[in-house]
Amino acid sequence: MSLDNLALRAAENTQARVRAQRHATSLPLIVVGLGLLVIAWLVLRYWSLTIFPPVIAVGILLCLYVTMWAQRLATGLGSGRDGYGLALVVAVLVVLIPMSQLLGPSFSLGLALVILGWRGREPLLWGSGLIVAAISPFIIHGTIGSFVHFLGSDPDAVVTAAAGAVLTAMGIRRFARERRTALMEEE
Amino acid sequence: MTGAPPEEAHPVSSLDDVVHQRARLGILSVLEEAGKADFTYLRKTLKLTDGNLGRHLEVLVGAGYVQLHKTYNGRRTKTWANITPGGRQAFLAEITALRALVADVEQRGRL
Repeated sequence: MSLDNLALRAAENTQARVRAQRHATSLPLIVVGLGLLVIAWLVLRYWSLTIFPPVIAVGILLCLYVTMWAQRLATGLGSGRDGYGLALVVAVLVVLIPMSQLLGPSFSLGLALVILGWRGREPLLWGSGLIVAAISPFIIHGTIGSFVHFLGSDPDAVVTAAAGAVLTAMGIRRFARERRTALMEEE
Repeated sequence: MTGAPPEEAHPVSSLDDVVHQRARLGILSVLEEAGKADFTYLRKTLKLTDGNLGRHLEVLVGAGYVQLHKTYNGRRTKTWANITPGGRQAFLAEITALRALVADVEQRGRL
């Protein structure tokens, strides 16, 4: 292997380890996944989804912002180009759009994952975000629920919870993989 | 009038001496991904001594690729290194040149 090839691989491995140490993929998946579970629980426990404006998404993204800020202090690493602040600002702008509650709270969360995945060049994040954002209006209008009415009295909340559980599971799995990568020694 | 076609520059000509050095390439790899990192993180990750890291950072600051700033959390001071837009551009140009060199070597190996 040539010296140039070694230098190139060392630089690429270092970047992969840094991204893993920041948990830049797993933490957004876990926080957004848990956020969707909380939304589903609130819906089942209290109101219908239409009452929940996307302002809940702003709260969840604020939690993500604080989590990544704490992570930055703990590791001594910045957040790179990921754009947690941008995702938060976009979520606030969505709240300001008239009739934004018709998009559902999951829409802003999905959009946030798309932004983070696009800026961090992470297909898992933007792919999941795209799916969550795309299904959100169908959940809020009961379209999905009408197909899966066998799931109980509030199938929309069950679908939201299922999406949250899948994202959380993916995030936990990715977290374990990131820990292994972070501990990897440079070849 | 006909002239010889202009020769394509060899990828080596686009390597930047400031960036190509092993430790400095490591520092810029970290900073390009994270945007900024503190001195302790860089020292531990790149397995450098305080003095060695300080000298390499000085070179990068001198080239305009990195900026240093200090923060104080009430107990101690932390030194952070930030990558500049010029530093990011220089790092990406270096990676492109290295990829071209590796591709060149691999192609010649197949002939």
